[in-house]
Formats: sequence, C-alpha cells, structure tokens
Amino acid sequence: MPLNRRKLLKSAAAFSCSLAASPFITPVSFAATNSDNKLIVIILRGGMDALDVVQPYGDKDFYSYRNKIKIGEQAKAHDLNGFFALNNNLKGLMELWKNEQLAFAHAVATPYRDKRSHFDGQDFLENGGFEKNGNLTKNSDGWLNRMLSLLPDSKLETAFSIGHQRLLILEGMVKTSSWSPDSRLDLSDEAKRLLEQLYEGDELFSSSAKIAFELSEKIKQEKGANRKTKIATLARFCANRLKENTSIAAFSIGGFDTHRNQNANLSKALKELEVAILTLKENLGNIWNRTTILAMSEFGRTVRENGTQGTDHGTGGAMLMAGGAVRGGKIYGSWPGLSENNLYQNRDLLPTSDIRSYSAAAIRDIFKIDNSSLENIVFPNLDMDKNLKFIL
Amino acid sequence: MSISNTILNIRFGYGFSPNIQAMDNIDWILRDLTKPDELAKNFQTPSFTERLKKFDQLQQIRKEIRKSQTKDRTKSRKLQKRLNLLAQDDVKKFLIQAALDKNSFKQRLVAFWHDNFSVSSKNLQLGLANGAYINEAIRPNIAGNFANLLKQAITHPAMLIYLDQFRSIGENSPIGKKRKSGLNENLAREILELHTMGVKADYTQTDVREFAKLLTGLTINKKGFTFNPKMSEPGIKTIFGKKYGAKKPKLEHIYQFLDDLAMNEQTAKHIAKKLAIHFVSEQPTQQLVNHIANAYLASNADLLATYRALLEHEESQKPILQKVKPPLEYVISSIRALGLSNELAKINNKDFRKLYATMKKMGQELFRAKGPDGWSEKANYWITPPNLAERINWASNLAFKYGQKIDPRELIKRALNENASPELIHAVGDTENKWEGIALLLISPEFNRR
Repeated sequence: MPLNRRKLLKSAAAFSCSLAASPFITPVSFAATNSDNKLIVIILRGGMDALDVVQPYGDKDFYSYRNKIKIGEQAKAHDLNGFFALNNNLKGLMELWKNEQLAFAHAVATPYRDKRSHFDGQDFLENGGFEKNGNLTKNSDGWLNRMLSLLPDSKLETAFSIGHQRLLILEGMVKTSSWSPDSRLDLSDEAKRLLEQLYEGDELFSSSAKIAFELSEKIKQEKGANRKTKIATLARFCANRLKENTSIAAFSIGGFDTHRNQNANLSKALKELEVAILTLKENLGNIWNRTTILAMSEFGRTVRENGTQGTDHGTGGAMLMAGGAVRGGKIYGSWPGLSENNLYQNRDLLPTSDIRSYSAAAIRDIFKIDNSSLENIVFPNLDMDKNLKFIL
Repeated sequence: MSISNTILNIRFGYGFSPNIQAMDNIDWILRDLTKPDELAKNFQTPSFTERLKKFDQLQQIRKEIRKSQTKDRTKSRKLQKRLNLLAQDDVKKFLIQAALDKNSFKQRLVAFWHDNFSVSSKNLQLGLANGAYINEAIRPNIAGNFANLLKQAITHPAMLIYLDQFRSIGENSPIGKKRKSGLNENLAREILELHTMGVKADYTQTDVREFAKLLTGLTINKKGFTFNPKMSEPGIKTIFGKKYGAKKPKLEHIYQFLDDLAMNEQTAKHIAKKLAIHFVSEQPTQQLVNHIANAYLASNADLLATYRALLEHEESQKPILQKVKPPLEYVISSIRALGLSNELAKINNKDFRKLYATMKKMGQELFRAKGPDGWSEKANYWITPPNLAERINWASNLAFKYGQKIDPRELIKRALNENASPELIHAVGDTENKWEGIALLLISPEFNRR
C-alpha cells in the first residue's frame, strides 16, 4: 500500500502540544508586542519549597516542623520585614529588596489540588485555565499565548521559542517554533532545495526545517561550562532580545524537587535563580525600569520535613516578583498561619490566594488588558482579585 | 487483515536491514520472546552487587585522600574513569543489541519498559545502577507477567535509589523511633502515577501515604536489594479500601498489594494506553486501548497475550505513519538500513561518545530521561528546528561516510518497501551523488516516521 502525501498530511495533523518536567534542559520562549514594557516569566520546575525560600521565621509554629532542614538564623536567612526572611542563597537579591524592586506573594497556588503530580501541576501552571470539570482549557495552550492573541500587533513571526523543548506557556494558536544556539546546519543549497520539496507534504517537518535554516545563520554557537554560566548565558541572550522589539521571554529553571537533602539541593536551584535575575538586571540597563519578572512553581511542599532531610509534594507556594516596574519591598498575600489546624489537609501550606490573580494583575497593568478578557480568555474561570496591584 | 511485513518491522521493530532477516510473523516473534535470549548472552555485564562494591571502593579511596590531605587524586581518578566507562558500556551494549537483533520487537520492548519504569543516570552511582537495572530487572522480565515485572523493577536498587525509597523509614518502626527519621512518598506516588494506574486514576493522598508506609523496609545493603523489617512501618495499611500488612512487616505484604495493583482495571487501561500510544498513535482509538486492556485482564496480566492483542488489532496495522521515531529509534533504524549493525558492534569509545552526544543534541540523552515519567511520545517534541537540524547533520555525515557505494534506488526499496512515496523515490534518484540520495532518504519524513 503506497503511502501518499495526503496520508502524511493527515498524520501530521495530529499535532498537539508537548510538555515535560525539565530539570536539565532550559528552554526559552520569546514574543514581541507593540508595548515598550517587558515581561519575563520563569517557571521553577519541581515544586519549590516556599517555606524555605521566604521563611516565616516570625511564625512560632514553623520551627516545630523543621529540624534537620536548617531555617532562620541557623541557615543565615536575611530578614525581610520582621516576619519573613529570605533564604541565604538568594542574598544577592537583598539589594533589590532594599530598593523596593523585589516582592513575593506567599501562600499562593493554582486551583490544581491533591494529586500533587509535577506533570499535571506544571500543565495547570502554564496553561492557566481551569475548566469547571477540572481540565485544562480546550486547546491546552498557554496563558501568555492567549494573552498574545489579544494584542493587535503580535504577528505569527514575532513569537518564537528557543531550546530543545517547547514551553506550554507560549504555545497555542499563535504559532511558535524552536531553536537552540548549539545546532548548526551544513547542507548545500541544492540539498536544502530538494529537502524542502520533500518536506512540503509534512507540516511538522517543513515548519521545523524552515526555521532551522533561517536561524542557523543568525545565531552563533554558545556553550556554557556549567549550570551557573549556562543560565547566565541564557539570561544574557534573553536580555539582548528584550533590548530589541521582543517584549516577553519565558524560560524555566529546574531542580526544585527536593525530596532529599533539601539544604544542599535547593541551594543549587536558588543560586541559578539568583544568577538569572541579576544577569538580566545587569544586561537590561535602562530597560530594567520597565521590566517585570515573575517566577512561579507548580506547587509548594509539605510543611513537615520528611524522613530524608527533604520535603514531599505539597500545595501552597510562593511567587517571586522582581524588576524596576514592580512595587517591591513587600510580601503580598494573606498568611494562613502554620498551626496544625491551619494546614491544608494537615500537611501543606494553605493557599489563601490564586496564583493566577497575580499573573493577571501583572499583565493587566503591563499590557493594558481589561479584567473581563483576563477572566474569560487568558485565565478562564478565574475570580480575579481586582484590588490587587503591584506594578508601578 | 493480516499485518504487513513493512508495518511489523518499521512500526514494531527497528526497521529493515540488508544483513538481518526481517520479522514476518507474529507467532514467531512472541514464541521467540519466551526463549532464552541468546544475543544477550554475548553482552553480559557485572551485577549490581559487583558494581556497588566498586563504587564503595571509590568512595573509600576518596575518603582516604581527604583524610590524608594530599592532593594526589590519581588513584580515585583512575577508578572513577573505569566506572564511567562501565556505565558508558551499558548504553553501548543496549544500542548494539537493538541494532543486531532479528527480533527487534523484543529490543523495542526493552526500551519501552525501561521507559515505563524510568531510572535516570543523574550521577555515577545511578549510572552504574541503571545498566544493572535494565539487564537484571527489565530485560529478563518483558515476556512474563506484569506483576512480576513491576515487582522486579520497583525493588531493584536502581529504582530504590532513584526515587529515594531506600531511606524511607516507618515512623513507628524500631529504626524510626530511634532516629526520628521518617517517610518519603516519592516512589509510592510515582508507582501509582507513572508505573501503573496513571495520574487520572482514582487514588487519593491518603492512598499514597498508606502505600508509602507499606513500602518502607525496601532498601539496599552491601549485596543489593533487601527488605529490612526494622525500617518498616508496623501495622495495617488501608489502600483503596483494602487492608495490607500486619504487626510484623514482611516483604510478602508489599507483593500482595503489587499483585492487586497489577490486576487493577485502571492499571490495565493505563498500560494498554501506554503501549498503544508508544507503538501506534499519540491518540489511539478507544477500541484499540480496550482491546489490549481486555486481553491483559483476561490473561491475568500476561504480557505475551497483551502484546498479541496490540499486534493483531486492525488499528495497529493501518499504513498511516502517525508517530515520529525518537532519536534512539531513528539512529538504530538508520544504522540497520545501511547495513552497519556490525560496524556499530565494533565502535570504539571515542566514536561512541560522539554518537551519544549527537543523540543528546537530537533531544535524547539515553538512560538520562529528564524525569521519572521517561521520554515524550509527542511528534512535535522530537521534531523541533534544532533537533531536526541534528538529524540532518548526522544522517548526511553517515551517508557521506558509508553511502558512497550504495545505490539509493535499491536502498529505498529495502528500507521503506511500499511506504516510499513517488516523490521520495523521484528525489532520491535525482541527486548528483549516491550519498546525497541516501542522505535524503534518511532525512525524509517517511523514514523519520513509523
């Protein structure tokens, strides 16, 4: 039975989004809009222990849950507002805090509950939707992508992504494509022409090859020696793009799934986050004043430490907001307390607000999007906290 | 409708090769799965126990060096290099068997189950464990009962280390009381979410917690896997409304639950769907999934009956190629198509490291899946511009090096049979050099899909 073009076309039409937890590879996505403001979204993969990052050291109950995992003064945490303290591995961000360019929202979560699966949790975080039946929105696209569809001048070509993987957050109806700085093509023009002909009937292959050929000329090889320089390279790369007409960048940092030896393992991941933010600031120059960074994770972790100096998957977490456009020096959200009857299911930090409210408030003020579009298109079924405002 | 040879070899195997007999019969394939694995006998590797001994040796040497405060690390570096090579050799042997085997469905199953029960070589210890894992827990158990495969996989030291189980301690166990250490839920959760029932199944946080308690005691000693009742949470654990365990914990209690879990309807559905998604389509029909799940349940989780249901269903035999080969399959099927399996078997370490790095750039760092959920099944995960660029580069180089004297018009018939489109036949015959024609064949959508 011959396999003809139509069949190939049909097979290529079964095209849906992909997403996976990514502790090792860092993909990044970009989009351009007609706004001068800049937004950078960092997905912290693995479930960040918000209680270890922004430590409620003024909550007397906190100490009864953590014994082997060092916290507070013992862990050299830096006081923020007399109640919360910042993990020492982020000490490089203290200056931002003092200059009111760093803030956190505590006890936040997506509406995803109870299964505590990374993969589903990240899908919900990046998709941002929540249908009444508990599913992702129909097209399984990302919330930034749905926002782009509301901005008049975000053309198809202006949104593309970099890296070995796609990010759901920028994926959907507005087409995205991928590239990483470390692959090069060395095919003759003639071979390219024949190849393009061959790919014509298969959308998946033709679209990938087209961008590969176009961009291979533009992007030079850049290799990072270790995780920290790699993330710095990535952040520099983002900053350079944001200095041009790119207005949105999204990438992820992995390593937050700290089931064991949390002190050591979380430190690596936080160092990367610190390097990413400081490198962005350094390279953005004046644009920093118009920049908002949102860093968020799929869920928090158990309030009690587990049997292996770590913590297991939990619920309530925290969001980090940084940048010259952020009203910083503040901890947003309402603190539920850590006494046993205040915990979610007697194990997790109780979420007191929807993390999507913060993303919504940010893009409302950055890209001038009205509340009703936010609640209906970008974050379907979100009951937004309309008084929330943290962008200058 | 009987399955065509082309579909059997391309979709369910690693493809045709001029010097390997093609698979042509489902009965033969399944019968062969039950026979002793003659090919594997040529690729034996040290056991987990032997590997652990060497790893402990390395730790000991490192400790001595630290104590002595000398800076001479020659001794530890030498041993470390040897161990790195051993871990590298495991991946190499896995690839060579895939390239050589006449029953390439068997080799695909080894990869499939190694992915379902994914262990990632995040560090040297896990790298050493992973090679033993695939040969001790996965390879010998792909043709028996799923319950047995499940038990072997999740009690292997590699899995116990990878998902933190070996240090999970029941709080009321003798050790737990003394040390004030406790549970780690990681393995319990991933068994339910990834290895058996799937995340959509009806289990609760309480089920996970109780299961985590039941699993305490699974740990490792100098020899490998062991059950240590002193770590194990005593008493009854209720999972899905059924009671397991006793005052005096025994390994048997864990096995009892795993037996029930294997025969759980949601496990049957999930495993059936995973097989259908891996081999046939990102979105398999409900009929196909039900057909496989029913065969699984009717046979008490017998894997041969399950594979037969998969292979014989008409959905599996349709000629439309819906899936994209991941880099593992792409590289091995290219090597087979050019008749290079024996070349691969002789590959030196330097060239092998290059091949491994190439596959990493294609998106797949073998034995190092990014998480316990293994590799993606999505076509658009694998075919991104950088990944495709790497396929094009690698295939062009392979064709240039080995394809100078092969007639591409002959090869296309051999490699794709009736699956070659007229356009591809035309393009391949239209190139100036033979190698270019071969390159186009390897880069074509037809060859990249299955």
